[in-house]
Amino acid sequence: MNATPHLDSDEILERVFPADDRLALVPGHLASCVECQERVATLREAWLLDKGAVSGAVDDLPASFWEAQAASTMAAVRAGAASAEVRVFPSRVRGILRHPALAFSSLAAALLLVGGLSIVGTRGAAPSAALPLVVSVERTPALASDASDDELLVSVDRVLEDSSLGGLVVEETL
Amino acid sequence: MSVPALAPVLAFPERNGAPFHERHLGFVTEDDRARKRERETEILARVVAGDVDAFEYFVVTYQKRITRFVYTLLRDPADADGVAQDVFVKAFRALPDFKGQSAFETWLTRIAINAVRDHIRRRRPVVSFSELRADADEDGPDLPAAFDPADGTSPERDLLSRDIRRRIAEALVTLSPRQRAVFVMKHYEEKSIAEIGEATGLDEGTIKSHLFRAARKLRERLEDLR
Repeated sequence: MNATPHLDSDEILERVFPADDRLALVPGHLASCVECQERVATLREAWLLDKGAVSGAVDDLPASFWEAQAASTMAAVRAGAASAEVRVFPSRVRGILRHPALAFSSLAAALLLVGGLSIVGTRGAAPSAALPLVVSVERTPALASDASDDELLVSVDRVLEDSSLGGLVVEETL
Repeated sequence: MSVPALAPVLAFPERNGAPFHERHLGFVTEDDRARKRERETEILARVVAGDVDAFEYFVVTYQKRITRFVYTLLRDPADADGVAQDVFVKAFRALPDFKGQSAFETWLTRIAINAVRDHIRRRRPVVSFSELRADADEDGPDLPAAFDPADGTSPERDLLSRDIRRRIAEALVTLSPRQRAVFVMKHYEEKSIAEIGEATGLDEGTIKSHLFRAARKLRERLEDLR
């Protein structure tokens, strides 16, 4: 009678799927326990069947399959080689073009940004008309800094005086 | 007058002109490897120089091995065919980056692992692999007759064997693509830890850790088989 405990699941797996190139030592229990031997044998058999099945499923494919696969692969390779010679877009641009939604949203965002900047630009252009009065004065760095601060404040005041934007701010505040 | 039937033989002498021991006894000597590598370096130079057709040598030589590897990882014949083709197209594109530090086959395996990983990430399955396997088992084996476990042993053992195979396949698809690749290379392709390291760029400790985790997933799936 075998007095040592049965192999646990890890030990059974280690018999069939060792995590090392070297063969693991065979536990003494396995030599005399028919039940554990059967568990190891069943797992090994199932794995070998699986291994044979996946390998056989590919190896049994007819020669015509491999010829067709090679022809199709070479056609793709040749097409790739031809397109590489007449490449129009750099790879990053081609990446964007593969995603039309991304391209359109990027375009829309860019247009909005340009539109917004041009609106701010035209509103901010009015105070700059008064600048020549100050430009003729010889400026020290400190004066120049003060003058640009003044210009900024004037621009901000004018923007805030704008009725639509002012109304919006008030409404949101309320 | 051309002789089309002879053309493949002339173009790919390795396929038909391999030494007897390699063709019939299934082993390859160091000299064979060195000769093959030398020849491949020569063909690679031709491809890089613009001879696209010369690349067919690599497709014909490695298509079966790469398709088998990809199929073992994905377990889907149609996907395996598509991804295997993609591997060669990617290899062709990346050829200028191939430094020849490893064998072409090793480099190709690395591309295959990445291609499978990308494929798994892109794929959004509506039906899970386990469901497909269950259906396949109900309809009968989709395996070559030579590997049908119904031959020979007792019906109970056949059933158990089939169940274990299904669970192994299920456990495999729950692994991360890298773990799966390491497990398949070790246990299905019988590669050494060093060879797996060369193909994956992983160190020995990481490979063993992947193998351990893969075995743990298997244990979870096989726990109740007592």
